[in-house]
Amino acid sequence: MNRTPRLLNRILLSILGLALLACGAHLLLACISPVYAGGWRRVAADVGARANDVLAATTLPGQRESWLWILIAALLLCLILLVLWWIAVQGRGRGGDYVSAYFDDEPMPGRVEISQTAVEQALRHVLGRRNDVISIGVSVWELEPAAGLRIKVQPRKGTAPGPLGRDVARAAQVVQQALGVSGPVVVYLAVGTRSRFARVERVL
Amino acid sequence: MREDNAGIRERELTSGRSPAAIAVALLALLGCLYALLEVALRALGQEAWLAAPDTWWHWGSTLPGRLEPAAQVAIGLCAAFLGLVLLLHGLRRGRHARHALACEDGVLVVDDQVLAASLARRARAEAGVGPGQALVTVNRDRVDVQLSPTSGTPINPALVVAGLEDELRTNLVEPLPQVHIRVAERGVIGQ
Repeated sequence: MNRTPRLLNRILLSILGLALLACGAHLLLACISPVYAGGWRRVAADVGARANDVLAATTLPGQRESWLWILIAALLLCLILLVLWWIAVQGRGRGGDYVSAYFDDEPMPGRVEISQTAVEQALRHVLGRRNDVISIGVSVWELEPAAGLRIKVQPRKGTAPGPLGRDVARAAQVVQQALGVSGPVVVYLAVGTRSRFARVERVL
Repeated sequence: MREDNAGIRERELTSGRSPAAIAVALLALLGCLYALLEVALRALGQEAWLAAPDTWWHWGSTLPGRLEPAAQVAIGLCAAFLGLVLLLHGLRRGRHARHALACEDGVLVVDDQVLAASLARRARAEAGVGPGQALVTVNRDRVDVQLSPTSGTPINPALVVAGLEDELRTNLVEPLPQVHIRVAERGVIGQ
């Protein structure tokens, strides 16, 4: 339910993968085939000479180095900031309060906030005591137009997941009606950490 | 609302490629920082730290150069392999080991191991064997069941398969996986 830019991740990974693949193939070809290496050297020498001309043309009189280097450094700084943004945007979207609404048309205007914990307690109350559930965790996610609710349930081993999951979803629906909100609900039935790190997916 | 739920279900069932993205971004960050250092030194007219940009270009443009051929092949192979891995990360769907179950009130997603545990319980009940004699593995579109019968009491595989299919239908797994059963030739001492 997070807002990781998945398409961007995939596009960037594919482009970088293709670039690395091309670099690797280029290195291999330059080592294996003398004809390819000769061609590459000719092209590279040509490009290098042209770059040197440009650098010489952009050197201001009285200065030793071209001002192009400063431009390149600024571009690199921008690139670094973009990469930092790419890292920061992963897994984002976790919301604080489930409801935060301002009412100014009531006799007593004010803001109503309902936290994640309140939702969790209401859900536990509606579900009642169940012996097929080990733990329940509720998290709120910022989605448009309404906040989303993700309920992670760890069932006891061997519980039929379908009926249990649908019961939890119905309880969440009841809680939403009681709070007067609507929004997507995800029920995720997960294995505990102990069996997650077990060597094989063996159920005894 | 319906299409929204389909999008959310897809997000829950597949990987967002965040770890790969963060790893690649960190590598790119290191490379950019180094390039920035060398370029800034060059712009200020200072001595290079490791090698000036011209030196790097010189190494790259005279490629086989003084580099050991074996080392060059190794570097090339490593780069190509890493590139292939990244490309596959970008293009493959990247399913988690999870299944979606039908649910009217929201999106219901289940870890494959939870489903396997429930199926194993049902298989044990149908076959009348003890714990440890049924092994269930859930894959994308198939369920593999391995049963070791108790010595002297044969198991009717068709009955077990029917029971498991009934269990899958009760849980409303979508799409419905195929059940494959294997009963061991030799029995074990029952518990």
